[in-house]
Amino acid sequence: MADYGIKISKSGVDVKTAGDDDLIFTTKYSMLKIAKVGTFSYLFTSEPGVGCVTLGTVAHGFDYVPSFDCFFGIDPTPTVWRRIPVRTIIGADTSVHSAYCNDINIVFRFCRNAQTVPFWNGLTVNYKYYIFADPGS
Amino acid sequence: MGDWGLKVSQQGYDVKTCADKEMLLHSSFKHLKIYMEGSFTGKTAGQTVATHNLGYAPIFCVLAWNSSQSRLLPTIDEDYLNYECPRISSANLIQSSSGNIRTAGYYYIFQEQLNQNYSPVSIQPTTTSQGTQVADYGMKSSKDTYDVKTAAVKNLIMTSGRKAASEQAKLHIIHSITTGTYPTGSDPWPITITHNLGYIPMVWWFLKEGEYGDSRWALITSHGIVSAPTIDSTKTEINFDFEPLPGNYACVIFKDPTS
Repeated sequence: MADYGIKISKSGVDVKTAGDDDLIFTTKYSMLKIAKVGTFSYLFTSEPGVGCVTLGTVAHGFDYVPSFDCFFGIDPTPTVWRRIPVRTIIGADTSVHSAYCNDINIVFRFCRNAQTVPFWNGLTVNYKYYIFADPGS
Repeated sequence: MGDWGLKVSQQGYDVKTCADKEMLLHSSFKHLKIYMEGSFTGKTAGQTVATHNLGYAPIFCVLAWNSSQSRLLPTIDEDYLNYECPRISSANLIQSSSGNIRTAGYYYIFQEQLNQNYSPVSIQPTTTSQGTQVADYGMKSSKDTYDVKTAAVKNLIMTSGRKAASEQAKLHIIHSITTGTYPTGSDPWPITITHNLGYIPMVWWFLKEGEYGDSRWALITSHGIVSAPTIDSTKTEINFDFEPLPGNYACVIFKDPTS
């Protein structure tokens, strides 16, 4: 279709002649659409060993692999978050909190390369996730 | 012009009084518009992933593709190694020139400029409560050639909601973009950007790393020379693991909360 849609320009700019950079919104371009927002929490009830484990999964409801974003925080009510993947280095131990999406779930992962310094037992880790309706593949 | 524009609230919020973070679309704010997107495979060091030719470095993000999984990039992977990510210039999205590389993935290049300051616009900072959610409301616009009445959400330009209240669609609203240079020296860190939103927002940090003599921008997390940036209810900070060469940063703060 040659001509359709909505566009809104910045204040003071003529919407009929504005360049794309001067448009607040235009249906010419799609937008990332956050379809699902949630938090996944996991309590370490023992010190995790060396290797990788899946801490949990959440179904996203799409029949394709969606794009997503995810942030990580420690403690039941985090006051500080970091965008994943997050690497934690304590002494000789490197831990990685990460996540991925397949065509069913968002999957929350934890990996550790050594267990020389006890740290995670008793801690709650939290993943704040945003699933986009837009594809990730 | 005193009063003009368009605003759409998230489902159940009063559009006349709700907080900025409860808006879906607001013509006083900057939104992320997808300029181009696509998948790539077999892209090795230094190869061009996509050409945008915008004439400036735009905001972008990349998901790595591994078997049937998509992962956020840049990343350290489960083997604890740094994985290099495509970086963006004023013309191209280009694979890193060295290091471990994910050769396949999916990218989004947005229309908004990355390395240009954007001052925050705050209209209503006070959180309100979500009222009754109705089954069908709002506005939506489909991509060209799709019937807006039947199109899947991924084939919509935007939508103010879906019929299932628990799966409401929302858009990224940019709160601010702050750019600057980080100097070399004994202790130039952390770089702190104050937002004072009173809640913890989504934040993307980009670096043009002098460390690698790179003229291109990377979206960073725990990676290479930096620790994962922290975000709290008043500020976001980035720290370096060791003294870097001079480079540039751009911090994009969204109004969307992480908590």
